[in-house]
Amino acid sequence: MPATAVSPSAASAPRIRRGPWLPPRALGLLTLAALLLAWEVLPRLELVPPVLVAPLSTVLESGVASAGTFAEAMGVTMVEIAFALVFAYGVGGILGLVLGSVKPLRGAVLPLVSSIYAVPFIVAYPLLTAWIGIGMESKVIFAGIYGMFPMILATAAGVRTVDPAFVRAARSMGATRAQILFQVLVPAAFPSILSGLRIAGSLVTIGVVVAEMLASTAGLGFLITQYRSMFQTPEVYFGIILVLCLTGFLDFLIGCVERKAAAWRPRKELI
Amino acid sequence: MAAVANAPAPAPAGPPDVAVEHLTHVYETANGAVKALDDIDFEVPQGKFVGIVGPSGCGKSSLLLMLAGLLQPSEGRIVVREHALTAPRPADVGVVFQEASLLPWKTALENVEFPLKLRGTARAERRDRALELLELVGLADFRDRLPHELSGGMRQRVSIARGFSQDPKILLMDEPFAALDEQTRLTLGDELLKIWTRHQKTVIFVTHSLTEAVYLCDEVLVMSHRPGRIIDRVTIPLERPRTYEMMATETFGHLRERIWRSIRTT
Repeated sequence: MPATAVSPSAASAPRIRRGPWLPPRALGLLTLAALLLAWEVLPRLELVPPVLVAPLSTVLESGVASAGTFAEAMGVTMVEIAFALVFAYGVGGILGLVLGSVKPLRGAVLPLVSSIYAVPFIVAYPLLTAWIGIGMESKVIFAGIYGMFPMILATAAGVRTVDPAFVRAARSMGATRAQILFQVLVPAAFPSILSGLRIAGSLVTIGVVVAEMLASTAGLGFLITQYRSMFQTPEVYFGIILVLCLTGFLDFLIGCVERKAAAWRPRKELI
Repeated sequence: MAAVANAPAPAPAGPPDVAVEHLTHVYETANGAVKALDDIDFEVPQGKFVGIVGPSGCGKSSLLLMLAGLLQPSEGRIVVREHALTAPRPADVGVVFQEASLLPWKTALENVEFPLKLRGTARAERRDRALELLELVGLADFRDRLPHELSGGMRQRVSIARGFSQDPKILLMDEPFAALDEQTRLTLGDELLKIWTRHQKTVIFVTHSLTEAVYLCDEVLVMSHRPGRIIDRVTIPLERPRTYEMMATETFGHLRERIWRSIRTT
């Protein structure tokens, strides 16, 4: 091999560690522990009124006491989120691919999509319930459409900004339109599509829970509102914790996909 | 057609691999139509290594895109292996692009395999073929590296291997070594000549390096400023295999000089 080849190890330069006094992970855990401690101690010392913030232990106790009710509500919310996600990701992803890769549509439709995205749809939710009732369908449709918009925009933006050199090379190799779409555009746009997954995921969760709060007979959002109206503060907080767990879990799933897919990107672009 | 000014061309065996006939390209801009190429006319016999040089903005790259079937000419036509070219024909024409257009999420091996995958070649077969080509460009040990983990020279080697993987009869190269340093450029040029000798391809090589053009090519076409026209055809009578020592010879200097003068007078 001539001298132009770099050795395999030279490709990954040694990383210099200029550490803070604690590794970031430990610092994060420490902050969390401090917050949880404050949550327990401050209401107990009546530094904050317990009716506004219930101590952590009371929250957990009341959660365990009504475990059945919470589990049922959580089940309803999870099903709604799952269906809404499928809708937002599926329909949003496909529309994004089409709008991003078909030039005439891009100019005409994309600006419209992004201005609709700016409209706070939640104001129209009562109308939706008038049309299709306050059951699960209305939550799925509302949250699905709500999450679909960022998915469309992120996917279209990703496809649109793919380096044309990739497409040109593939065309010179005789790639068909479908091959260019699925073997070049989609993988090249994946980082952007991922951010669409993330934003759409949180919007869907927000959409479902808020819709439940506005008009519903089941689900975590409904439960939280109900407890709040009865001033059962610990239960309200337990409901909030469960919603946080759901978003955390969703985020974790997307993070798994992200780590797998982002392996090809140079580190410096990840920051 | 192949009337060459400074030396008699060897009689081509059979029909030319590529015939460019009165090619003109006009494109529209906000300020009106711009003529990029004007009546380009040349032939490339089978197995020849032909260079195209010219000042930047002379339409070399447009010409290459047309030869690849990626851009339609406004007038005239291109005949590749006796059939007019209207769309990319990967079995006949392969392209090695300027900047590494390797897919960044695919490993070196997967990138070399890609043209075969598009064509539906069986997995085992395309893997074998890609490995063989990586071996040929000296990168067998780097087959599982992603492009960003390779040096510029290595990436360009992968590109060349990819160009060969679909086994085209004609290889178009658009300033493939432009982004590389001098030493890498020379080494890669030598390697390319070696592979070329072994695989008997017809090569059309666009470059802005005159030394590279003289060193690699059988014939060099010199293009003028926009609108690009062919203003000189220089046959390179240096014998093969080419060696570095030839660069120091008077003939080499004269040829380089002549091309330079042609470009400068445009």
